[in-house]
Amino acid sequence: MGGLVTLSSCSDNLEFGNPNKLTTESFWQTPADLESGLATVYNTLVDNNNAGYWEIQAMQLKENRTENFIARNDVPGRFAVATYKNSPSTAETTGMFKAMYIGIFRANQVINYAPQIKNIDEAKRAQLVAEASFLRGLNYFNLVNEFGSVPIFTDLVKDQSDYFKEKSTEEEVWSQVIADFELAATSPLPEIYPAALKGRVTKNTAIAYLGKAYLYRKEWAKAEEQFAKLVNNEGTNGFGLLDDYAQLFDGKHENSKESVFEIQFSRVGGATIWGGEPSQRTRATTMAQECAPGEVGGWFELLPTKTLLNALTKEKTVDGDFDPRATTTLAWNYPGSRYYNADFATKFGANAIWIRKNQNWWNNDEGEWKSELNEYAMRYADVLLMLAEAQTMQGKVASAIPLVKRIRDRAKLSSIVMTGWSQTQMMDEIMHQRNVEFAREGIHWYDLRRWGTLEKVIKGSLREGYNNYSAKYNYFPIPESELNNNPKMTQNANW
Amino acid sequence: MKTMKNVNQILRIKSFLMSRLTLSLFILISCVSLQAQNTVKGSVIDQKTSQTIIGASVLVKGTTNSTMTDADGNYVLNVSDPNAILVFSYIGYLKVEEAVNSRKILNVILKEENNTLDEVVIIGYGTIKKSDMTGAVAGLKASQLDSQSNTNLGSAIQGKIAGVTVESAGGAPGSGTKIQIRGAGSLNNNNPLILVDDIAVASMNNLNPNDIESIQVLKDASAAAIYGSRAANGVILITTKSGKKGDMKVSFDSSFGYASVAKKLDLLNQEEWAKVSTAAYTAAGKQPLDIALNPEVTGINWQNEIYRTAPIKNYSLGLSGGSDNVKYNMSLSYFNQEGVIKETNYDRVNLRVKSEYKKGIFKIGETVMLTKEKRKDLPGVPGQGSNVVGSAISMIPGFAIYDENAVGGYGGASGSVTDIFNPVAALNLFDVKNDYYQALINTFAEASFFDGFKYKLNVGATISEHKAYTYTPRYEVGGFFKNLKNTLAEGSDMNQYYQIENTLNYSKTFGKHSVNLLVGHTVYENKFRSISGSVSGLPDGIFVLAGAEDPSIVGLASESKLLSFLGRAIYSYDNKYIVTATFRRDGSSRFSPENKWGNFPSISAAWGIGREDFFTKLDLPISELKLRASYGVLGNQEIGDYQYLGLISPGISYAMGEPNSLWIGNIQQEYPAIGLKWESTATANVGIDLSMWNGQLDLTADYFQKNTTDLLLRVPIPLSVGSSNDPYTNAGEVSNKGFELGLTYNKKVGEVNFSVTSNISSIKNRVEDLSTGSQILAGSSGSFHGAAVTYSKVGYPIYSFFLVKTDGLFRTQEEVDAHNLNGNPIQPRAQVGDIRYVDLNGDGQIDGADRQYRGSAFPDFEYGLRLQADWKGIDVTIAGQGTQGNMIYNGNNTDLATVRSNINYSSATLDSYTFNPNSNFPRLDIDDLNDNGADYSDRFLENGSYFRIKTIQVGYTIPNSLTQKLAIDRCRLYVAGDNLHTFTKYTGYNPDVSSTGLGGRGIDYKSYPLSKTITFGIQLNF
Repeated sequence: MGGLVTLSSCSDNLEFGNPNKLTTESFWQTPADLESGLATVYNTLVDNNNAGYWEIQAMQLKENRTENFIARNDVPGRFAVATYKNSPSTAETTGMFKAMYIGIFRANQVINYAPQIKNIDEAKRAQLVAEASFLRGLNYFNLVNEFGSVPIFTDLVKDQSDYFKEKSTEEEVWSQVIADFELAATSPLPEIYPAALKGRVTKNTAIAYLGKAYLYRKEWAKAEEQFAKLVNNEGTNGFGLLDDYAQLFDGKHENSKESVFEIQFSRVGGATIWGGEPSQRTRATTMAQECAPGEVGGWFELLPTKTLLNALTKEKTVDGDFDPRATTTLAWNYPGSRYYNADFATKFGANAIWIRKNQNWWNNDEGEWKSELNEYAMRYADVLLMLAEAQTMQGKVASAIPLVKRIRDRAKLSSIVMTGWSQTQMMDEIMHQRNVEFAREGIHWYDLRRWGTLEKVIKGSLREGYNNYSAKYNYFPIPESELNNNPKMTQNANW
Repeated sequence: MKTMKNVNQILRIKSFLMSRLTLSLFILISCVSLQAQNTVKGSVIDQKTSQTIIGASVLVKGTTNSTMTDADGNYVLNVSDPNAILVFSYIGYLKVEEAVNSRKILNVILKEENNTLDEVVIIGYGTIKKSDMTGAVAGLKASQLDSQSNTNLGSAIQGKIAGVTVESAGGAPGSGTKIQIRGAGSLNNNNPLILVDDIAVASMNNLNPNDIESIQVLKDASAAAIYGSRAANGVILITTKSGKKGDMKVSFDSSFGYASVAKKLDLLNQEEWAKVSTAAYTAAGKQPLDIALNPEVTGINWQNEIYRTAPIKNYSLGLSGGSDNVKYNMSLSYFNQEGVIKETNYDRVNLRVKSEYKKGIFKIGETVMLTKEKRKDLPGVPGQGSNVVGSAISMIPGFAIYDENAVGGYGGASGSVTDIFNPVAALNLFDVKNDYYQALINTFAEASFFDGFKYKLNVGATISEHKAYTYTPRYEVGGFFKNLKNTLAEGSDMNQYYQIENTLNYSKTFGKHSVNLLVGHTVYENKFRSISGSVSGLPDGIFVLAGAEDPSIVGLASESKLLSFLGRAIYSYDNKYIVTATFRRDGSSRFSPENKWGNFPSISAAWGIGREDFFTKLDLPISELKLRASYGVLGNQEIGDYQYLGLISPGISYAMGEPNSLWIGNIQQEYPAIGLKWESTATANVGIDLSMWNGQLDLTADYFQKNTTDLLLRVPIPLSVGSSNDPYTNAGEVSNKGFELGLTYNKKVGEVNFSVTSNISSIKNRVEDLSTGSQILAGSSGSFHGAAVTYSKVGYPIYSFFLVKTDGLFRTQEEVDAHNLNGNPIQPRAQVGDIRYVDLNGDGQIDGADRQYRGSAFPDFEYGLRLQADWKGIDVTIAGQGTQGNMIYNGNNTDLATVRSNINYSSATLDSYTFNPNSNFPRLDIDDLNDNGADYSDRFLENGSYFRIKTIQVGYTIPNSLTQKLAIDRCRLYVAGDNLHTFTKYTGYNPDVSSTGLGGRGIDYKSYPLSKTITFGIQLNF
């Protein structure tokens, strides 16, 4: 009997390691560990399960509240944002907030574990830390732009009490953004990557974003200083504009000379679009499918307004044609308009307006919903116009003229005489050019806000929900679940 | 006689049917040969089953002259005095005395003793007389399961045990039930521990209800304490049928039935739909939809296209018998059910062998149960229909089912409408199959030695394998859905559960003192491993994972272990004063090293007041009266494995380079659970057991308080921490207070026997504490893409409904204008006919922050009632059950009753304000700028109270005299109806369906409707 009792008690080991995963103790040893950690920081920018900032949900929220677009009314949260009825409990803005902090948590791991990595080239270590710092700064940049004042985490949580952090002021968040961008802008990161590494952050990406941060802060001279570093060195850094605007969105000119920071989408990885294990998920995007019209099986979730069409068709080319930016950005019923291999008016109706930019409109439909078209986080055209703006705002209107001209020329617009323009005249032109140049690329809302024209434009557009708009919608509220679970958190002033 | 019996037995083994004839012949001969003397002969029959009783004692009163009934329940006895009185007795049956009165043939019917307090009840690791029970235990016997019409065991116990809540897990064929004992104490797992013949199983859904001898439910801490950490949610002990001493008995049951959907939703036809949709578009100043003006077909009733009347078949064969040293019971059954939704089905084969062997002081035995289940399931469906049921109710009637030109041949929604997948196409295109194989093997060896010691070793295993298969062919369905490549996903997983239990029992009675001691050591181990893969681009006609594009493969493994030491002492004095103390110490691999071990004690006492001299002297019609009290602590560790480790998640990747290649990433996504320990539940229970008029009336009542502390909970940490999931923490406290009453009444009036069993229970559930005071846990959503509608908040029941209160419709423009805060309109875009919402927080706007408590899915009380009567050969059973006071969020109406997406709508829209200004249904407007369709609105909350006539069964047992000629002991024919009618005000499919998860309780969103069933059957015993 004694033997039988022992039979059952001989295996009293209650310690099992997880056979599926490494632990934080066993990981973070080799350079490969560190580099693979960095990949996950990029992943948060595109992860559709975690509302990545360049994935469909956030992309739609960036545009659907401008005068240029409206959301379809049957996804309640997106429609709420589009019609200024969102609240702290809106799931979509909550998801966006969370996704940015997931990116920060991951970047912080790379930065904080980097010193303990063995057998690594010191320059490589510094590069990876710089890249992670830039991405952390980018997340804080997005946070301060969308939510205003938020908490700052730069370390890893060691104890439960560290979970709860109060908000930093907007000033402090901006300081963090600038510190992170500056670290990357002055790091050993290369200026240009070989083909195999395209899509990753270069030193020039960091410089451009540092300039953008200063621009948003209205620190014009500092912004100019950064942008000038790029614009004055086109010979070495290779930046320039593509000849034809349409090439930017034809799927054949990705990671071109106009790409400053380009978010990569591709049918690599798994086959699954949503759900499943991370490794099963495709790295393509459903953005094109979700924006396509119902006639080709799309979900028409982001609908262009007549206001946008009017802005795009305001000025014709020297040849009297539509601005190529109009026909590249939108599809509507103009002579010879073809869309998804059909005559536009016949298939989609004479009064319809649909998005063409970043749609696979040269196919019959959006196929298996997996679009490989990249999103531009920043184009060189943006750098040119931001430099022009930084100069104009310092009164250096004349310096801005050639920059604006480059944008107009590429769009085949007539050569207008800008010499002698006032600051206001030049700013009006820059504002208009930025709107038509970057429509659907997710920066217009923030431009309007920093120019102080948001209220005028939204109220003036008479778009759906315009009379719900008030200044409090300039920023999203701190999510309700953050407020509920963080006793140190307070809501934004207007909310 | 003895020799004759042996001969008879040998013959039986040779040929069953032949033996019937042989036996009759032997009896005939023996009767003839004994005729000359004063013999009395006859048979002893069980009143309930009409079967003969083997081994019943027949005694001439006042003498030692006695005999036993033989294998066929017959006896022959020499009686010299023609006026002698014969005493017939059998264990568990009431004695019957009959005067011979010169009769030669004397048949008697014995009736089961109803004094249930003298029953032996099964408790953990042993049995005990019911009169010695100190804890709260309730049981059901096989005959109470109504297994003829309840093909699922969970459904067979629904409404029959006070304090046990059974909810249907949906009407899909083979889908089971969700069972909760005494409310929801935990926020992560409320499933009771289920043991079949002493081995744990994950669910009772795959058991054959015909195999069950009895079910015991251990409800309070005292009764369940011996199971320690796994018992906090109560324990269900299922005992399968055992062999009984005697000749082999054969039973064969067969039934055939039809199931159909109990209710369909009242939706619009194409003409009505066009009217409603056009009105909503017109209200928004928009042109009507093309499909409203030019339907493809005159109108499809999509519900009718997917539902059908479906057959159910059930066959069950049983063998049982035994001698002094060997007992056996075997059964083989086959169950087949076509789903009430076309293309779905379920079939199950159960083989069970249970036997026991005795030699000297040793006893060994085993239960082996092999189960194979095969299901063709409802496919998941792309688009906003969510699933086939949801697609069928959402699909606009004007779209055609078929389209010859489309790949796959199906039509569907197109144009500027919501992307709903044609449900008929989904059922026919997608092939979703799941196969389950389970082997449950439990063996024991027992030695009884010295005087009262018993050592038992129990070694068991449950091995379950699951195979999943999903094939998606190429298709084009309407304008929205296109799949260019055949894809196949297959998965396989295996779970291995092992248990080893050593127990030593000492049981002894010294005069009026009796003791029962138990010590034990147990090990439970669980191992899980899975693999799944998928490919796309398969050539047509290939259905294996081979040679195609996009191969993907994923595997997973886990392991856990629980070690325990247990002890129990029961002391009873004179059957009046009983004390039970139990202790269990559990060690779990799921906690960090410093918190692995937990101690779970309990104590209970009972006073058999009815046995006190002073009480018996009162001469009340009370045969038993007992008071009980108990207190104990139980644990819970159901949180999944490895939660205390910080883990690196693989495969979180990015595309890099021109052209893109995959850059594989690994990262820690979640913070680990820091310092996690056992969740514990303390239960105090007081109860009373009463039996009156010799067991005609039995009553059991209990009051309990159950407090769960250190809740194992994924407490939300701030989003700003960046953890993609919230770590488990011991946080908070939940209480359940409740009252339970069970009543049984048996009576014979003339030749009618009847019994009434009823129970009622009421539980108040309350969240007492949740981590930081302001913590609110969001539960589940009840709409597409919607926010949660259930929340856990201190002071309210777990996952209650928190919704914005509606305050009727605006009937006049003055009412619209009056709804303002300091002159600013609260609902700026409201018009006459829109809903007025209550601005709870007074901030001048309506949003999620105005949610308030609007009720809970927990009923005020639930009850069950079962009536059984028999008269001669006819028997009738009626069982019903219901709930009162629970709320249901009718999630389907967030789609069907809000005309803001382009889908089909509820018929209620025809009576909306748009068409009828007296209506309470808001006006129709496709833009719905007032948010009449907001999912946070309490307009979707409905009263979920119901009473269901669950079972009606009428049977007829053909008289023994007729069936004996066919060598059949008993033949019963019956017709049974299940879920025949539900009385409820709830407007959805059925009121006891809820979505998955604790937070989803009371949310009805696109769930498979329950079916009603009519079954015809025959039961044969040889």
